Amino acid sequence: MKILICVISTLFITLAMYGQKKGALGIEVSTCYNQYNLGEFNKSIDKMNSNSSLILNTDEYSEIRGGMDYGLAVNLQISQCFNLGIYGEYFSGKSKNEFILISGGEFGTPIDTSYWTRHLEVNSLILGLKSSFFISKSAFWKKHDWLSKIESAIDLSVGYSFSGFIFYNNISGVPSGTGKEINKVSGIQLKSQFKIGYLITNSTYFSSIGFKVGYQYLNTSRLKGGQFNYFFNEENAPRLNFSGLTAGIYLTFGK
Amino acid sequence: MKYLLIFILFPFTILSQNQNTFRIEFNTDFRGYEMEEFNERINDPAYIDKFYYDELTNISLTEGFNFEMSVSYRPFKFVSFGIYGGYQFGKVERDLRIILNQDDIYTPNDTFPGKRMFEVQSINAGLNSSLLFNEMSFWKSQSGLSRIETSFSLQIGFGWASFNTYDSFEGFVDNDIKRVYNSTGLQMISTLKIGYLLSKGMYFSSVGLKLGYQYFQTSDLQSEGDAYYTYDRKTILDFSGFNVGLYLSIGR
Repeated sequence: MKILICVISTLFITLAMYGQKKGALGIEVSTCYNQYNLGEFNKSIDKMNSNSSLILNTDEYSEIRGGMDYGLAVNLQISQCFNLGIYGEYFSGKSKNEFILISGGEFGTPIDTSYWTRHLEVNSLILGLKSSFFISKSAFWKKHDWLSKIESAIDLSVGYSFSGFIFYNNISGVPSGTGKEINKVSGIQLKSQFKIGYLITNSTYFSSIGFKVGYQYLNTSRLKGGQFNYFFNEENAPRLNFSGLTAGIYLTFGK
Repeated sequence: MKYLLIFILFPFTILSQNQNTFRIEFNTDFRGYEMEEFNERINDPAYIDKFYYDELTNISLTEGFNFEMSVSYRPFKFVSFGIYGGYQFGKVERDLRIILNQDDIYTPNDTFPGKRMFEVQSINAGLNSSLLFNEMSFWKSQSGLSRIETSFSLQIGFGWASFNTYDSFEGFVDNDIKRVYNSTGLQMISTLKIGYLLSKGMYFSSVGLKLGYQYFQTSDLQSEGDAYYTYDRKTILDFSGFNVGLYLSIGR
């Protein structure tokens, strides 16, 4: 009986400690670098470039392999160890390559060389839900005083993506309205990240700053291909596969 | 010396008691846009091929929508400061048609109706500050107003705007190419808000109406290929105008 009372008392004390920061409302802003898995996409682009009249004007062709990610989340601490929130993020990847186009020369017409810059961009806007489990609020973490200013958490998120591929050319020395071909697709994003940071303040207002590293899965529907699309026809239109590692920094604040 | 100290420390005596000091607000509003120069350009027959129309009717882009989010902190009882970010857009379309003449006089010509789309949008971000009338003693003395909040806010920020135009014809596959021009400018907004406090306990939340005026004129529209819209005359985007909308806020 005495042992039972001791166990129940310990449990209530622990739960009382867990009850302190529940209900906190906070904002998280983050910026990361994402790696993408755009093999299928880059292969389709390479094939189209090699079949065109444009000649690459540099030694190496630049492909899209990654890009910057900017995120914003609003979180509510539903218990000591868990929070739930909504998030939005935007990430993109770009490449720019220089080409020359040699035209004329037939039937005595002068040969003309023009310098083209071909821009490719893939981007995605995500809206979704996320949840965090705070390792730093569990009992074993709190046992160590030196860890009191360190926060650590695992984030899981699921969202819907509005993605797209944009392509346009600029010709050097020829002012022209930029005609961008915009190809829109969508998909479901799943993301998990590990965060470790420093608690700047932890009283009525809380704020922290730290690093996050994780993995994102996002493979969109097929890009549109057709008669009037420059790069892709209906048979070979690729998907945009944004899956890959992600790493960056975050800042949280709230009350 | 005593009176000097009282004068310096007086603002801190009206510091809030740590309640309702952190606020997140979402709002959406309907916006009126000036767009005088822009509307002049899109109606100028010099910039549209006569092949596409019988009669050039006047169109104008005069309105749009805005979605915005802000985070603010109330260091003093009547005043809050914060940051905001928003997205606004508007569009107008012109009816066009293409007539393909047939080789013989007995077969009617093919007419394909279409539209020329003109879309403007901007992403804005900046700082805001609000004066909270419902935290003042004259407001609190009225018991009937205890659930009503009202404030006057000023926002100053920067906007990145863009203009897209493209044609779309029935019977022709769309090729998804848009002519894109960009511009930037300083934005200033003043808003009067009046709302109802849904809850006032551990969390506060409120919903209400807002009425305001935006000043936002951009630089000349220019493409990445260094061309202006249009090729011989420059055009700005003028998003200035009145706006009316709703807000929802949550905080602690």
